Amino acid sequence: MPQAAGQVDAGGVDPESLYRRYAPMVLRRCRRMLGDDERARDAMHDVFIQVLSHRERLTEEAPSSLMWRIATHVCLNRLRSIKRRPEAPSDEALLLAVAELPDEAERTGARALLGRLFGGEPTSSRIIAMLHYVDGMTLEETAAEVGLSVSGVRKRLRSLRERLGALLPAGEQA
Amino acid sequence: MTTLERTPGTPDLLVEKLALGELPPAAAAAVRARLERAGELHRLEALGTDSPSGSMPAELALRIAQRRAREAARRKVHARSWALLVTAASLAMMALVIASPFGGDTSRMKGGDAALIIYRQTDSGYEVLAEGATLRRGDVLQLGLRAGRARVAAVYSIDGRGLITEHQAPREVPGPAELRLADAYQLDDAPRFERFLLVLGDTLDAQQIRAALASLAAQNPGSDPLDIPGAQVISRLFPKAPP
Repeated sequence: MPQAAGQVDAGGVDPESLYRRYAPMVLRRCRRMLGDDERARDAMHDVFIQVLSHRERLTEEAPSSLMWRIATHVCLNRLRSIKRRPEAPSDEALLLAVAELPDEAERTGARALLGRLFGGEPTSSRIIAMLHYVDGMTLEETAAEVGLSVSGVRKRLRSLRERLGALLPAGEQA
Repeated sequence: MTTLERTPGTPDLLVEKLALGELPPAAAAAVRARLERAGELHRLEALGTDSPSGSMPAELALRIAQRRAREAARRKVHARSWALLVTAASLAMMALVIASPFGGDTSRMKGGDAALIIYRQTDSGYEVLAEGATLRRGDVLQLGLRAGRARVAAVYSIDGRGLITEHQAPREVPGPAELRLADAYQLDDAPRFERFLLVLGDTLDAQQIRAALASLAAQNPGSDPLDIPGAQVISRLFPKAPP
């Protein structure tokens, strides 16, 4: 049953408060990745469905990173389902290329994916690539965001270089 | 069109975290200084004026409730494991209109031979649930419908906890023959009752139905009618045995 505003359920999370606090950020993220406002709002809803449907697992006191990762994942999947446009500018092409990268979690199903997104397993290489190559986070910032060492992030990115190849921006740090 | 532009300076996530107050003090100071150096403090200020959310939309709350109902309270069982063969005789049985002893709800047969048919797996195959049959935790059910003269049909259920499950979103149905839904469902330990609702019409508005269901769930889901203007609703209510 939909919860009334301000109600905290057995999962210890107030869905309405979570939505009010993070929906603007999630929507901005989705808008930036998807462009189209309607698609962005739809993706934002998917993000909150994923988070709040499993809110018992939401243990972070400041879940902005989690919300950001899930929004990124949702948008990457949506981008992958969109046919590429030949006129895409280079940055967009890079984004689409990242979206096309294999998602390790998909091989083991939705439960593994949720575990990954909720912090139980390492973040997927797609999201690491997104944070570093597209969002412009440094190796240190990316490592802090995904809970890996800098060398761990560097190793992941190294394996992605061959896939992304010429699309990598000049001066990338991996 | 995707409007990606590479963040020119400080990454968006760090700006968002700073605005939310979710950076440690030293990191927050560093990000703020970085924005100042780059002349980008306006990005931080812009976040404060860009607040597009408001309250959670009712439709989103309902979708979350549905997802939780599905994943936490029901274990999906593939219909293939007990394929059902429906005969004309069994369909005729479903046309019976019998007052339910539970909550006064009644199976209503309107609009020709429209029907909501509920099958329960048994040791030897399946049975068609008669009105007033008692359900139990672990029962495996499969739903079927006949739309009568309606062109579009949708199927939902609501349990004693008020959790709503969408078994079939509004979709066109292929004539008056029975349409059996692809999946079967195993009931959880929700108390008191399970209620199944077939919504029929020439056109159906999914958002309107979801809003009406949310309203029903918040009131008396075991007894109040589901009012959808312009639509026909067939409701079947079954008591649930105590665990």
